[in-house]
Amino acid sequence: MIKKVVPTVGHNIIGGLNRVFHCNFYNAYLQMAVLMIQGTEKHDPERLLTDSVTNLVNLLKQQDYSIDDLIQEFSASGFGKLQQLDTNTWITPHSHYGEVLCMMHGKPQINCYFTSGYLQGLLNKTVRETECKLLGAEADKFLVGDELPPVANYLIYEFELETNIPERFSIDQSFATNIDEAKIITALRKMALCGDAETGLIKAFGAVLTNHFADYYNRISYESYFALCEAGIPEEDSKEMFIQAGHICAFNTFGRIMESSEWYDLVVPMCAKKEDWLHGMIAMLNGLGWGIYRIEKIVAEDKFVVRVYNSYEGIGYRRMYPQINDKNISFLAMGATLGLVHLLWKVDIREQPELTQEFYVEQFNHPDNSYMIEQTHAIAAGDEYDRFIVSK
Amino acid sequence: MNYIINTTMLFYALNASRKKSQLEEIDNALISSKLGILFALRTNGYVNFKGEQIELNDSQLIVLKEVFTQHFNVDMANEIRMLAVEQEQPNTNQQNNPPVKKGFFNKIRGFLKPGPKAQEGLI
Repeated sequence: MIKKVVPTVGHNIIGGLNRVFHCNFYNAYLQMAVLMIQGTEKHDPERLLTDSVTNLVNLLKQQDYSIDDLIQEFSASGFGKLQQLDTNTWITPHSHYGEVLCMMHGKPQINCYFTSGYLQGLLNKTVRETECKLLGAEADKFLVGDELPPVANYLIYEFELETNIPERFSIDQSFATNIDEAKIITALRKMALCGDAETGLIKAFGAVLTNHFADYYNRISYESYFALCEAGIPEEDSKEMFIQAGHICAFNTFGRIMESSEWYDLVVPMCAKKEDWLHGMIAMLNGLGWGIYRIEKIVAEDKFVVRVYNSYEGIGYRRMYPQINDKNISFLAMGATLGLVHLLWKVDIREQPELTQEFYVEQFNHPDNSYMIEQTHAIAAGDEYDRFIVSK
Repeated sequence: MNYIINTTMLFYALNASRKKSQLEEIDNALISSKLGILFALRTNGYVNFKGEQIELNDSQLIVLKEVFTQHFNVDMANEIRMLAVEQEQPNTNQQNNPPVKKGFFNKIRGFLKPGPKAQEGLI
């Protein structure tokens, strides 16, 4: 039985775990960034990509998920179709991570670490991928091995969600806008962004989406970031690898949403001026499980200040690690917020440009007319909320 | 022997090779970040690919070629051979000192607003 989503102060909880929508472009980039530490002596990114989800499946099982529930949930979340061939073999004829769209830059290789980890949790056995569609196989194939050694739970700290969240436009600047956030979130929830019955994939807005585990993203991002820092990579370079992931996410996910017929039917009629598009996308974001975004200030074409209550990265960080001092730490939100500003003030998404890689390289991510981002407050650093300033 | 490679030309050659193989173009900022990280992880020495040029020795050139093959899916052996210019007076400190950001790469800046403690650390 598919478990219900429980919307809770900016989080979309299923089986006790927050879920966030992300597209194949983000997933591909993030996996590429994590795999950069492949081949180093001290770190094992393949295992990180695998075991990080095994732990979450173990937690779902503690919430009384049956094997059938987990198989259905895999498909409903857009990860693909799990099929058992025999006692020791499973396949995914269609899978998010086995799609060509989920590979970035590198030499094609076995790519479905997430699926292996999910199966490990489901079966409580070691699982490794032996064939992958990315390498020309007809289906991704997984071989079941021995009993799985214990996988440590990484969500080890209690950290409660903030419930005292200010109303829209009550922080600093007041805005005259017709953007109806409640209406947008209701419409988003009615869209049934759920895996297709045949493929288990969610194709929407010209991308392939997943209703992914926020804690999976957090774990693989922060562990890789720490590994890079530990290896002596300059902090700024390490951070930018992960901030770039959010920037790519904004371009592909926000950009495609803002060019979709759904957006034009629902949001555009509420928009009187360019900045209303910012309000519209922020309203949409507040339904995606990313936390609750509250715009603090907009100076057109110049400055954008936003707070995020219950940011999934901030909450996730505090559930995995002790509080830190560094405030520039919510990488996805940093890149995504910057990207949102770039969609309106650097390029103009209202002109409906074709969102190709060429457009990304030559215009969207071109250094000319770029904005910069600073995170001034971080839940990970003990603040009540994350806060971002985008400026020239 | 040490060699100098102009990064603008190197990235141009990389994207030309990728396009020839029907692969997508990658922006220079991302290429330079990725190369900096991958190179450091494999050689224990940080080279700033955001500079106008890089200086590498023979073994580092081999690593560079391997990184291109594995992480950018192109064989750049010929291009590296053509672009690598022998340096007359090897500067042993060069690889541990990030080149000054100037010229075209002035334009490559990161997403982060520079803070007072911005780290430009080395290994």
